[in-house]
Amino acid sequence: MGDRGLLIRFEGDPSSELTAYLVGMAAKIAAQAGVIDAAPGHRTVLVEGSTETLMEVASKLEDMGPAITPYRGKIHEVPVRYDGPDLSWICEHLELETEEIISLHSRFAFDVHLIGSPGFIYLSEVDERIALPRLDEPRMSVPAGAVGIGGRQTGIYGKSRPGGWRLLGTASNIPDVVPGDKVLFKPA
Amino acid sequence: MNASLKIIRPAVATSIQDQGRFGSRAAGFSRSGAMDPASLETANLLAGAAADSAGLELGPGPFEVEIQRTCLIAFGGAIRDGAPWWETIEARAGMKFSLSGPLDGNWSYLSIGGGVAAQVIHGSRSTNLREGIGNPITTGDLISPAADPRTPAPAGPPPMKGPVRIFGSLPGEWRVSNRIDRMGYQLEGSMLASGPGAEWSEPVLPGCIQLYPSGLPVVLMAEGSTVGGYRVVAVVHSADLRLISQSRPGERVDFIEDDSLPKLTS
Repeated sequence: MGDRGLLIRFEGDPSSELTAYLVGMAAKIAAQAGVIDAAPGHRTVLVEGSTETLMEVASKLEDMGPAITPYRGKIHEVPVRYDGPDLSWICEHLELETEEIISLHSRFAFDVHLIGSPGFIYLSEVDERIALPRLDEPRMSVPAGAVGIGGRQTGIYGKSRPGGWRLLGTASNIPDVVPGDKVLFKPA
Repeated sequence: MNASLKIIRPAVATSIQDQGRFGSRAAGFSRSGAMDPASLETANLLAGAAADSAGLELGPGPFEVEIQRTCLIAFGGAIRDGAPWWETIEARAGMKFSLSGPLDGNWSYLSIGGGVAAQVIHGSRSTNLREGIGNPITTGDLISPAADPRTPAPAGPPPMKGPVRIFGSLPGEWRVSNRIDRMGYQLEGSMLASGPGAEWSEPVLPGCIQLYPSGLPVVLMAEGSTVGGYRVVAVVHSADLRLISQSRPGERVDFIEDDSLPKLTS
């Protein structure tokens, strides 16, 4: 990714196992000489450093597998009011009742894949019946606590920021999570 | 330490910045830092500060500062009337510098001997208001040095114009639009056919050029988010991003494709 970034991407959809592996892998790479940062994503690890450092990291990747310890995180319950500004649009678009959408969004815990800037909590995939297209252009400002869906992903806006996801609710608190933890939404 | 400077009139978006916040991406912190890191670095050296010290970044509009305590300072980046530029200045207590807005470019820097003091958060003094780090600089603010001054080092100004190397492809002619800020610069010109976004948001860095579904590209800047769902069509060379950052709305950006990097796809 340019002259200062190496993007390691795993094919296929993310899973809890892959998330735990990526978090462990990022920690391992971050400890290598010259690496400025190594951060897990949905199915990626982004490594930052000089071009030479990145080449060195890339050459060691294949042998790294057995040395990686998967990370096991904890579960956070997060109360959510399903009152988002896009909820009626979502109901019409999906041809589903509000209750069905809430049920599909809160029936199981999501994996925390990564924390975006500032404080955006990216979670694992939703049931395909509530997957939603992103806005054509992002809103200039989405309030902190907003819970949204973009494509197959769901997440929590930890701080106010621009955003292109469809908003379906508001979390009563922002959980203090790290990648590899889990979040279970409780309708409030 | 005693304050060196007092802000009489801040420019728009005046903030304390250094070379950026590295290593805290997993905790959700973007790089932040100067929009023109090379200009800040040069001003730092001229003022008797370490290259990676923090300085004041000045956005559009006039700026006025009063010297509280005799010290070394240097101005750099987008040139303004009202002070010697790219020079070590022995500023005496009571002197005032009243600067115009930038004559060309967008971002100017004011460095002081020893660097500008600010709380270090995740390894950096850079302000990022979106992330709740630091405060906007306002009238009456006092600016103090972080350390004792060093001997100023001679340093020549970096080039402010030139072609921009990119990895990847962005065909067509492009100008900077008037939608620009520390997060990103939207470009305008040719309209590109946009593909679907990534199914999973992927990590992005400053310099990534994302294509919105509307067909318009945006170049991610210092405070660009750490992940994005829009398609990345190219990445700007890390040394050349500052040339876009210093380009004004309406100014043309000449991209040249750089194929010098090894291909690692396996």
